Parts: sequence; structure tokens; C-alpha cells
Amino acid sequence: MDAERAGVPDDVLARRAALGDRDAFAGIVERHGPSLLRCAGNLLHGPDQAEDCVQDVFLAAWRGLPSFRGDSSLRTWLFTLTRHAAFARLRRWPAAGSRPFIPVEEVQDRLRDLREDPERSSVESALRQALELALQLLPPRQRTAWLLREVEGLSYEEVASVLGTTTTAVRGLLERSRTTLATTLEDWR
Amino acid sequence: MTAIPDPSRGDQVLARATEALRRHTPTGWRVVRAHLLELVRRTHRPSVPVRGRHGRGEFVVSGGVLTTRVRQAVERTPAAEVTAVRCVTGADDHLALVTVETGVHHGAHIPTTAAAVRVAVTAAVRDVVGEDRGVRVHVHVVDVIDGAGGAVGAVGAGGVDGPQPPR
Repeated sequence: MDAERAGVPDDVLARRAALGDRDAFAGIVERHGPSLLRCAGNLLHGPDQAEDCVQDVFLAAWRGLPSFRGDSSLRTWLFTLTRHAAFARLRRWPAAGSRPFIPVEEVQDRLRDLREDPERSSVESALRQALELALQLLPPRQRTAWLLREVEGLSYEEVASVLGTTTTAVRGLLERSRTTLATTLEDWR
Repeated sequence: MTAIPDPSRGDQVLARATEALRRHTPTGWRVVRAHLLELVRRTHRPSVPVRGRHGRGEFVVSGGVLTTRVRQAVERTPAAEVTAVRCVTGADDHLALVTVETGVHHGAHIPTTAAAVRVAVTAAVRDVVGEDRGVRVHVHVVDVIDGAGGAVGAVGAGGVDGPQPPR
């Protein structure tokens, strides 16, 4: 990020962008884009879907910033837009008859292949790929809650705001997702 | 002999994998970023039309353009930062009122800064919509901010308003 923008707080960038400052908006894109793309990539299937989703999110953000009141943080607002855009795409799949179906057995087979691949570039990379595979076993709301809390570091209140639910429900979603993920990965060596 | 399952094994692997995912920047981000910035550069926000006048007649300009020019004008004013701009148009989209909310830097003299903002905004409005036809400019000081734009503490909203200064 531009050194001048690097230390500028989110609310200031949002305020400037709302007033038409495209440099400030570029700062928002650079600061939050990788996280949104990572989140969308794990909610959707394939990089094209994720990239289109994030593109929609930032366009909506650019148009919506003048009416952004700052009731939540900019980051929470952007993740909420991402959740809406990603879930809208997920809902489209059944109608199109192309919703990917990932059976548990297939994920386990692919995890085994990944684990035993002598060519794997690094342990860290293989572990990350294993987790991304395991995430596909989670229903979208569990997956979203887990990604926002454990990877992006949002608070329980922020996750609840993004999902439009309560912190109690978020705790339940997280508990179930952790159990599934830990069980799926426990054979990893 | 059967190995006893270790229930914490999955949690340990999950913790390591989570850490790896946190550190990972998605492949293709640089390309996506370039596309996004180009897209936003070409995307205009819907905004109200504002009617202006020049030597050969009238024209219509986007309220967004006016807002941007007002922001830029205030940016050049020492010790002030615009936080909101509101334009009110009357009949036939003629501009009636521009309200500019500003933050004033900590330690700056508020009346002096507000007056300077008002002069800058008045000039910017005239520059965009042409000859003045009774457009009122209202400067509202709503915040005290540090140099980076962060709030130091809100002040009681004070307005600087009144007829246009003589030109």
C-alpha cells in the first residue's frame, strides 16, 4: 500500500472514499482485498467465482460508501457485502443444476493423495490445502463463521453482525465447525 | 495392538493449518487488484444533477463532481478536513445550498479555519456551477481531528453561515 495511506485509519479512508477520493478507495482495496478474496475463495468454488464475487463487493462498496454510516466497522461491512454476494451465488447453483457436491469420501481421498504426495512443495502449503479441502465439508454458514473468526480474526459480535445472527448462534456454529475440521484432519501426518 | 486415538491430534493439526491459511495471500490477488482499481476508476456513482451556467448558457453537472471539487478545495485549506458534503437543489436542479461538515485539526483556531473553509468552498462552487445565483454555503465544524484525520474529540457543532462574501 502507498506509504501515505498505510497508517490512515479505516474510517478516514471510508470517509474520503465516500467523498469521491479514488486514492482512498484504492487504499481500502489494497488493505482488505486479500482477506475478502481468501474468504470468498473458501466459500465458493474456483478462483473465477471468487474473483467475480470480490469484484461485485468492491463495486457495491464504491457505490454504497456515501450512505455508509459507520454503524459497524468498515471491515465488518465489507465482509457482510462479501457474505451476501457469495451466498447469492451459492443459491444460484441449485437452480442452474451445477452446484458442486463434495462427498465426504471424495474429500478424504483427496486429503490422502495430498498427504502422500512426495512432490508436495512444502508442509505448510500441503496443510493449507488440506484445510481448504476440509472446509468444503462445512455448510456455508458454519464455514463463514469459522473463516471470519479463526482466519480473519473478527470478534464474535462482528461475526454475528456479518451473518445477521446472535453471538450465541455463532458460538454454536464455531463449535460444530471446529469438531468437523479437527476430525477430518486428525489423520494428517 | 491398536493405536489409541489421540483426540487432541486433530486440534493440533487444525491449529497449524489455520496458521498457514492466515499467512496465505490468495493466488492471483495482484491481477484481481489491478482489475478492481481499473473498474472503480471507470465506475460512476449515481448522484443528483446540478444545473450550472457559463457564458453560453446552462449546463448540468453531477452532484458527485461538485462534491469531489469541494473536497479537493477543503483539502488545500490548512488544518481542516471535510467529513461530509450535502447539496440541496431547488427548482430546475439549481443549486440552493451546500453544507460542508468539517473536522478541524487539534490546536487550530476554529473560527479562522471555518472561515477559510467557507472561502474555499464558495470558490469551488463558483468554479463548478458558474455564476453565483444565491447559493448558500454552510460550514459545520463537527469534529476535532489529529493530522491523519482521526477524531480527537467531537465539538459542539458550530456553523459558519451567511451571505456570500463580496467578490
